[in-house]
Amino acid sequence: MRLIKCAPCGLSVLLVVMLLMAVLSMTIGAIQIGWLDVVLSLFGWSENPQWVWVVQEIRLPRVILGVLVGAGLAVAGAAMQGLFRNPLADPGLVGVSTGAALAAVSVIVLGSTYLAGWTAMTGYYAVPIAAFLGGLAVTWLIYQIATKDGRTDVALMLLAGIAINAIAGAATGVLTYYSTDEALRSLTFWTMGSLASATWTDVLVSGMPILLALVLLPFFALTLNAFLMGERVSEHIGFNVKLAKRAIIVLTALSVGAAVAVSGVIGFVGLVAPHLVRLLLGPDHRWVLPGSALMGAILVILSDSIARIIVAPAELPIGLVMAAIGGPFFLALLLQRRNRVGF
Amino acid sequence: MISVENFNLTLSGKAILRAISVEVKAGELFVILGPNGAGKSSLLKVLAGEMEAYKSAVEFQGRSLSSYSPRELAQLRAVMPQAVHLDFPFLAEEVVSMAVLHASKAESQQRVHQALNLFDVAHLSERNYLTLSGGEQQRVQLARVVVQILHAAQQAKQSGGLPPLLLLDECTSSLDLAHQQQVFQVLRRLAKDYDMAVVAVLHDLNLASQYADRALLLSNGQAYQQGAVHQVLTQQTIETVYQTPVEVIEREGRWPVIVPL
Repeated sequence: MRLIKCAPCGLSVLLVVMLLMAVLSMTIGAIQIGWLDVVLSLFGWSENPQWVWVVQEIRLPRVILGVLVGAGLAVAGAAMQGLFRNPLADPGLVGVSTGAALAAVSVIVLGSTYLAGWTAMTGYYAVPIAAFLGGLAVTWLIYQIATKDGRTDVALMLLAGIAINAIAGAATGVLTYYSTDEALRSLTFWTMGSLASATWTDVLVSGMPILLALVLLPFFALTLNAFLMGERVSEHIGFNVKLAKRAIIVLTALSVGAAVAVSGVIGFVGLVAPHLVRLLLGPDHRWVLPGSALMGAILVILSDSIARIIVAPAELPIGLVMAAIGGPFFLALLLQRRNRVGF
Repeated sequence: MISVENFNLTLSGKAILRAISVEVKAGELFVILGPNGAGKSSLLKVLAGEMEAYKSAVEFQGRSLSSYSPRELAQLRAVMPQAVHLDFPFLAEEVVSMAVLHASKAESQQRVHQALNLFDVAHLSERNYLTLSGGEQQRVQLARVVVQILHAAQQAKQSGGLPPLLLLDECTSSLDLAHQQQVFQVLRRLAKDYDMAVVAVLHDLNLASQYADRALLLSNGQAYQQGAVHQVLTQQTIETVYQTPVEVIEREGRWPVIVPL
């Protein structure tokens, strides 16, 4: 049921695995660099200046961005599942990611025409802020639709997700007719997800909001635990449910928005990572939230490595790899749900 | 301790409760009785403050219920809803410990264990809650509800503070005979030992007759009868409210038994 009894030990193991994966991932690329040389190059101690440059300027920002995006999506997934009291809630499935992506794409395509005011106002942050607002709008909408009297209707939640994904898909499709060649290429990036163009600027832009969510969400761990028994129950136990709900919705939107802004739509991380962590450490949010962040980072680095190896020297969009892993996983989850032994 | 006066509740145009006046005092076990749909759970929800718009109509320990913060309220009263849905595989002891806030780990463990013992579920403490039977889950939930205020009750007794309140909605609905008895013995002891007020919505008239001090018999949202339990549960009141023939067997020195005919 619970593979690791000692939760802090489990978290330490995940942290070590994540660091190993990160180093391993940095050995892969157009030029192969051994893991020892990767470590040396990280600190600038390698005698080969080309390696130092490649590792520090290309591979390190990419792997850090992978960690941030994976952690951000997974912690948002874990928090949403608590909020919706259901392990099937995932930022991708319920449309939060696509909502964020649509907002971002709108700014890219229409930024110089209809949305010129917005770009002028927000400047460099036009895209990430739009992604955050898109994600926030969808999370709030889904919560309003699916939750009544403190209980979430799962079918409604998933169906609303389908509708929102369809709407966002259609709107994105329409936008392709207005886009220039260059914008079109970046549209593909948004809809399939990629870490390929990772820069230190991306790391900075997405790092702040994601770190904010990673730091603040665990403060609501106990509230989320009680929340799993119902909104009323957690209120009666003494938690400030209204505040917690608002904070969780905003923080998850912030995290997903930031992740989408730099990497496009990478689905299933928010579903798979928390689930694996629950199998390892149990459902207590005090462990699930940090554990999911680490697991999400591991999954994204792993998928990104696969995406780079499998059709080398070209590379697949990471969203495709995650979907190839996550889709079957989701089906397995549904199958398990039939047997009803709990998540 | 908690009261409403001449209270009316209307939900989407339908009158659910009409002209209800209830006052529950410290140290008593008060039961709310009545047929399905009479408004028992609604009344309990109002007392629990779950109906946002009607919070100010409830007076709790001399203040309006709306003047309490959730945290303040949690230390003075605990609520057991009719059903709790939990979809995640917590251990039984983890479920109970969710209601213990502001306590050290050792302290929390000790309280959780005490509460589990109280409801005869200590042997299930390391079991996955989802694999428990309905009755076992209900007893774990009872432990979770009681652990929330037990410590406050003990402190109140020592220092003469305000005793807490328990609100329970059909808390023995899934329990076998022995455990129904055991749960009500515990509730009665909590009321008598710690001067707590216990308000329970109940279907089993014999449990009410056996354990309650006072009762409110609801019929179509109105108080049909209120008072000492044995004055409320007479053949005439039961037959009128439940529309079914019964015999109330009076027994020398023991509580009356109600038998449907």
